[in-house]
Amino acid sequence: MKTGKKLTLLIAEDDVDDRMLITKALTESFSQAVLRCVENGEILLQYLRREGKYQDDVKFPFPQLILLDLNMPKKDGREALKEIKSDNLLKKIPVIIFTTSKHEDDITVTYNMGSNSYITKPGSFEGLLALGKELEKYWGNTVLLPA
Amino acid sequence: MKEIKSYTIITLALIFLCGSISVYTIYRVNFLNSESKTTEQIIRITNDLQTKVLEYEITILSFATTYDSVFLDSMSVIRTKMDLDIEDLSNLVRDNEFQENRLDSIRSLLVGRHHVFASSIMNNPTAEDLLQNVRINRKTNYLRFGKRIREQTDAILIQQREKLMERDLGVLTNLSALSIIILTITLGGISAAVLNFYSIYQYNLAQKASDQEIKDYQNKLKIQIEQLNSTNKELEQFAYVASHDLQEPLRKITSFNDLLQDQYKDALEGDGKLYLERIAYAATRMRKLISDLLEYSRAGRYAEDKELINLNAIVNEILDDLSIQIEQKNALVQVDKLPEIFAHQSDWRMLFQNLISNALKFSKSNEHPRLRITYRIAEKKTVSEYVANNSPNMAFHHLEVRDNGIGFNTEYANKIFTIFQRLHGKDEYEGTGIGLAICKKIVERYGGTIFATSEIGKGSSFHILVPFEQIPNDQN
Repeated sequence: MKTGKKLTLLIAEDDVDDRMLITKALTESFSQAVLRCVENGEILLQYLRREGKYQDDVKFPFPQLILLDLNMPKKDGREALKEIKSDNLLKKIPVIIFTTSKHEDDITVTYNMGSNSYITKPGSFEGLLALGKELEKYWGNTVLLPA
Repeated sequence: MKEIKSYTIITLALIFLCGSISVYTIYRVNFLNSESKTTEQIIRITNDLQTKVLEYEITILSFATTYDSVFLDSMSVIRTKMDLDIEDLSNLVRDNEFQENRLDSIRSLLVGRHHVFASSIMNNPTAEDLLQNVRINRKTNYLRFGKRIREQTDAILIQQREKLMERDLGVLTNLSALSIIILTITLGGISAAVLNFYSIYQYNLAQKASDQEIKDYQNKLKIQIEQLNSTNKELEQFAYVASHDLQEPLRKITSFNDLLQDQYKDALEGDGKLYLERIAYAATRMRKLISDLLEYSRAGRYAEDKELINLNAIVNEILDDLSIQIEQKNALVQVDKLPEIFAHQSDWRMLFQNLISNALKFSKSNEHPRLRITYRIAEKKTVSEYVANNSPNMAFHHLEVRDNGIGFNTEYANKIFTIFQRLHGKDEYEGTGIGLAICKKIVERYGGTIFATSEIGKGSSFHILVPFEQIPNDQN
């Protein structure tokens, strides 16, 4: 199934364990994706705006897709989302909210702010693997992404 | 209040007494007035009689001096008049023995006087003789008749005058007695009225005091309710946050455990693999507990955003979700026409989800599960028996979920709605013991009640009673 071309997936996640589990699972099940991680919203925006060390296009390729945790220190997911969606250069990038929260308010608010998906974190590694497959199937092989 | 009543009764009684005494006095005074009129008449006629007696004497003297028969005629006229006077008097003094006796003696004295005069005319045929005779007997006749008649008439007059005075005094006594009585009664009335007003004042004071007490109590209660509400909210918030945050590390335990099992199972020796399985099982169970707790804390949380929901649609959705289980167990589900109610969709979904999945879970192994969901308007008797603080004119929906499952001992009919309360071992029937507690919480949030009836081996019935009125913004 690995037919589509590579795409860069940027993961914004503050939790070390989660970053480890997500990258491990996605490396296995979403092999089409090149994975990069940032720890909070502030760094996420630095990455996107090519600030500091993120000017390096080879090490830090510009992402086609963002996986965004909502609850993070410094700048949280909501603020980061708001900034991304109000930035003319960044707003085309699809943002997938990836959180433990099932709160109706979070769902509605983030969609209103322009997020493209809302996924709650699976409770097991197998769940993560399955999710990776889904992501590959949809974002990798089904939809067309902006250049 | 009791005092006010008795004082009012006393006042009314006094007024009535006053009235009757007045009427009686007026009657008495009238009576005495008519009596004194009679007396006055008697006095007048007696005086008249005295005058007539003198006139008679004078006429005798005139005849004796003139010997003119004119005087004889006037004598007869006077006599008739005197007889009439006496007749009148005897009518007026009819019930007075003394006065009657006196009249009798006057009568006979007058007769005697006339006889003496007539015999002196007979015995003295000439004018000189007669005059002589009259002159000689003048004193004797006066003493024999005139003076005695005068004595009798005076006696009559004296007695009548005394009577008149007596009666005047009677009227006076009556009147002064009346005024004293009226004064006394008025004083009594006034004091009763004062007491009455005082009692009313006291009553009002007491009323005010108790009103204040009730108000204070209400305020206290309000504060306590507010405190309770906020504590409740805090607890719910706590449970929500706690269970939410608890899920984080648990998710990782599960995930890393998965990784271990997946990637290093061959490296493990002996019971190592079994231990990993036990960790996985415990973590799964813990996750279920936490998520149920989370649901419990969220159940019935929403007071706003209620809408008109169709219970049939909700039940159908749940049956759809459970279709695999239903098919596996070969269960027969029958659903009545259910009402539309004004509520939160997620609450009622959770409620029926729990009840229906319970009915499927606790089915008998040797019998196909049969499930019936019925609806009726609750009977007044059922409501008053099960709903605390129900008002008599409030109508309730009565929903029932009945199964033919294993049932339970009715001894535990209330216990099963307590959180973490289970009647069966975890290995027998899976579950956390939160489902029915959630149901209870939801139903109570809607001002209703849930209760269960059962018979071991025959099945259970879960009854939901919720009030009809589900007006927006009515409940908190």
